[in-house]
Amino acid sequence: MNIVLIIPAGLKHSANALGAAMGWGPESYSVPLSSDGAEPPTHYGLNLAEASDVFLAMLAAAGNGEMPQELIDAGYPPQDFAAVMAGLIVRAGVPFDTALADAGLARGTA
Amino acid sequence: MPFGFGFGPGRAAQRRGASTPASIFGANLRVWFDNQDLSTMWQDVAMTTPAAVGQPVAMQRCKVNPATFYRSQATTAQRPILRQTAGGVYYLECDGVDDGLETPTIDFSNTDALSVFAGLRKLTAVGTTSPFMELSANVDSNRGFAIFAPSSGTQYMFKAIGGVTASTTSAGFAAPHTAVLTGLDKIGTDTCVLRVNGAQVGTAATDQGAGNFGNYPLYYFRRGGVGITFNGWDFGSFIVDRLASDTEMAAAETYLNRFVGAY
Repeated sequence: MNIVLIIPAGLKHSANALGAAMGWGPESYSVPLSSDGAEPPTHYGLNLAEASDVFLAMLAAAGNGEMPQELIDAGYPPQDFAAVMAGLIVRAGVPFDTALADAGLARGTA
Repeated sequence: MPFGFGFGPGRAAQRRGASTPASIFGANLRVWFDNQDLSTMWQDVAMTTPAAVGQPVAMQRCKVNPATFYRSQATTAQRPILRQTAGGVYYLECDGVDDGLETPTIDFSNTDALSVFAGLRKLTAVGTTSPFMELSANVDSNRGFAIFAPSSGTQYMFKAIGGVTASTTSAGFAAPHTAVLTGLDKIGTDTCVLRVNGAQVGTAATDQGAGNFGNYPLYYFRRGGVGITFNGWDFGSFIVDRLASDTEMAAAETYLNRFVGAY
């Protein structure tokens, strides 16, 4: 099952840092989004084509305010974690563009 | 539609023949990503976990100079997924959102001629231009080439640039569509040819200027690793640093089609 994550542009840096601290790599949120696809982006998105059960469980726990141990060990700021979780839009099992439409967003064509 | 019964995408793997890109082109074969060889792929960039069907592919070694050439993706969400058809054919599934692989720089400055072969299935028209593979971050401004699937609408496009861009397109291939694509380009003779499923479908005689191709990364499935994306399947591809002869082209296209089952 895929999972779509969308973050407000102002939280992109913190969200990417969170992903990096979780071992997902440096630039997880790489798709610029806005209401009509035009610049400047108001949000950034990612599509994880195969989300593991471990990942989904972690995300569910994070949604309940439980900061994953990997982030604590990596020294990720708790206040950033709270901000990212508060701003994160999560859709599981739907196409990326469906998730965007539901959120009133579109991607550009550049 | 069931897969793997002679025709249709993902023909049965046991139909492979003896000819391979290496045996057809010898030392002129410069890049070959063989998705039917799972020993070339891993789930992590460190190459500790071998590839498995249903799992992301983070690293793939090129079968030419594998110690030097590879394509990889450091970010988990941007890795294509290894899939297998009912006929046993492996392919990389690209989500058309953020998936992409990238090589280190590969130096094509020794040649003004290239032959590019790719087996793919395009699923939808995402955006106006969907790069399956592109030499350099943007073929419009560098001495590279690109295959777009689609370029717009129902088209396929092959584009190359010496001093001036030459491109050729062919429409009428509505997604989903499975194809063996061949692009041929020679800057010095203003040759630019696109073939789809063993037939020539487009040419351009644009004056391409002079000089050779450049020394750039190859970007697969996403422009420059950050931009527009390809939505579909990659069965495998290879690049030759000269124009292929008619006999070589037929052999190369037949080799790919044994997996792809496009025609």
